[in-house]
Amino acid sequence: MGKFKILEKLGLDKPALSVKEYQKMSRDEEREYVHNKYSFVPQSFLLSVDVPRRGTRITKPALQKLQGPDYVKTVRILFQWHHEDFTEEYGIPMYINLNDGTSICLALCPPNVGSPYTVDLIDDKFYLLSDGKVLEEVDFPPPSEIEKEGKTTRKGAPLTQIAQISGWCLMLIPNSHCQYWNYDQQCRFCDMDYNTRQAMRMGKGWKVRLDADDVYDLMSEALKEKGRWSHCLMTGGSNPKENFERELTQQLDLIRAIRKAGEPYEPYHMTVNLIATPYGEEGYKRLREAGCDAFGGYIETWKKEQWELVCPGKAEYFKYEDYIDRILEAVDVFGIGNVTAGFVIGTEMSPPPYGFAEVDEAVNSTLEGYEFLIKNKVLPIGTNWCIMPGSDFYKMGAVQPPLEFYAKIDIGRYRLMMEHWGGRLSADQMEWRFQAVGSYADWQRLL
Amino acid sequence: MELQKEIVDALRDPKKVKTLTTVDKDGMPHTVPIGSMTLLEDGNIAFMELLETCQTQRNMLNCCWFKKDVSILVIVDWAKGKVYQIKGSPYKFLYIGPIWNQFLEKVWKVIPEADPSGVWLITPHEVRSQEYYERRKAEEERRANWTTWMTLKGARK
Repeated sequence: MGKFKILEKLGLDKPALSVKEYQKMSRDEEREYVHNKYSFVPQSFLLSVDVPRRGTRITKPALQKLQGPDYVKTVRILFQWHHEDFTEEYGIPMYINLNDGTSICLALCPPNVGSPYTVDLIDDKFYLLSDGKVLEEVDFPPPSEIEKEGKTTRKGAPLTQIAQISGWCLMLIPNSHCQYWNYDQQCRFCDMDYNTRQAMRMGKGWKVRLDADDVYDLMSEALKEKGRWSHCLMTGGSNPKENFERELTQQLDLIRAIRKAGEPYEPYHMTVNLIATPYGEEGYKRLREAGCDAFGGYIETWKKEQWELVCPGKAEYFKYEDYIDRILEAVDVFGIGNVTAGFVIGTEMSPPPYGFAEVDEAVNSTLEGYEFLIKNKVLPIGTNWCIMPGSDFYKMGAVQPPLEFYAKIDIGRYRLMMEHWGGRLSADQMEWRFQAVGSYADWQRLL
Repeated sequence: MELQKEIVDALRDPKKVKTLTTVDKDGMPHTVPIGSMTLLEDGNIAFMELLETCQTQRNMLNCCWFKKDVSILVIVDWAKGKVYQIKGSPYKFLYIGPIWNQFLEKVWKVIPEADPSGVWLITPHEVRSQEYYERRKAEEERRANWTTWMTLKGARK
């Protein structure tokens, strides 16, 4: 056995190139290289990684068409997905949909940053292009009834400001401020508070902290719309005050409001996936009792020494081993398949000592973590890293990992899931229709 | 394998609709209705191919040579959603003998001008009900938490 045991076990031991080699390739050359090396991977899976990774430009005609009433305008986001948020004049959907249904995050990117793809309008249809070459016809989600009718809470706040409202999964952000930022202890990839301040400056009118009444009003309206929603996700910034009790109490209030709004629709009440601080068994029991269906904690990155550097806020309050153990504990309360552990996939390749310098050692480390979690009935999920202004890694001049890094991680995760659970388990609480920034979710369609 | 009685009865009832799906060498699917399909006493499903040069015949050969399954759809009761898919492998092609004679006699009663190619025997090895609730139950059993995450929430009426 060689240095990278899990890569060998999973048939992923054909070495990746050195990072410098990928950087010499053009956008299409790199995608073609990966496509040829892993010819069984659908092109749409690679686009799902590469389009947000490189960013997207929208031509003026396409942008104008998107302003029409047929397309959702995503107001509420947790992190920036637009390199600089220059979207105050326009409403932009969060997702691009490929013909196979794949949801891709629309990460707007100015032409002078990186090497973005283009969305253009041809014969009144949207297309994704690379250097003028059409890759695929694409589309964008239609708005919900909530958005079309301009509905508000009882207090008069537009419901579009309460949650990210696209389709299938409603995303609630209890706190758009993470208190780790107060002490410069935010995760080094994170731009949450920068993004929130930017949105506030642009007058997007978000509620930084959600309350139960707003959430009840939102859910009561959302559930009136037939066939649009399958579940909701709650996630946002941390609040370590009173040993995270304040954070937990807020989550409980919101979950109870969601369940109350669902009462007229039993058994089709909204199910809730909460991604938050791993509160431990007592906290989990309280959440379960309130009506929470699934729980996830974001580990962010697997290697202990890197975790302590990348996540100084978490490392201040938890030992690395305890953080992971607490996530494992959640399985006993929420049940098998209902517990996830998240990663910001790509930070494994942030500048050393925060990450690894080369692809295979980074992939090997992460897949070791995945296997440990999967064996312990915790499903690894993730958000592909986009390096955004306001984050420390952006300031350090970090660059995105090569496309092959993501391909290897996703193939490895799929093979581990099949090896250990044979399709019995899948993180369907974070599934492909909604999860546009985690390409693992596309692979779950094959489990 | 032993087939359920209602499938056996449907296979032997010439009024029940049956289709056959085959693939060519490139995997291109091809689905046709088969009026002569029936179940033999030995458990094989048989049908008479009417045209030696047709796509189904070439595809059946492709599936026989390269060990690819074919798919048969048997509509037991359309109104009740009772439909079964049977997967099987091409086993034998007959163009002479008692089975050929039996099929030829029946076919000529319906199409006196027919010049059939032969009779294919297909060995069934998997049956799947296509009835919605049964398929759903199977998926609910296969995937943990299916009902929690895969159901649409809110108003239905």
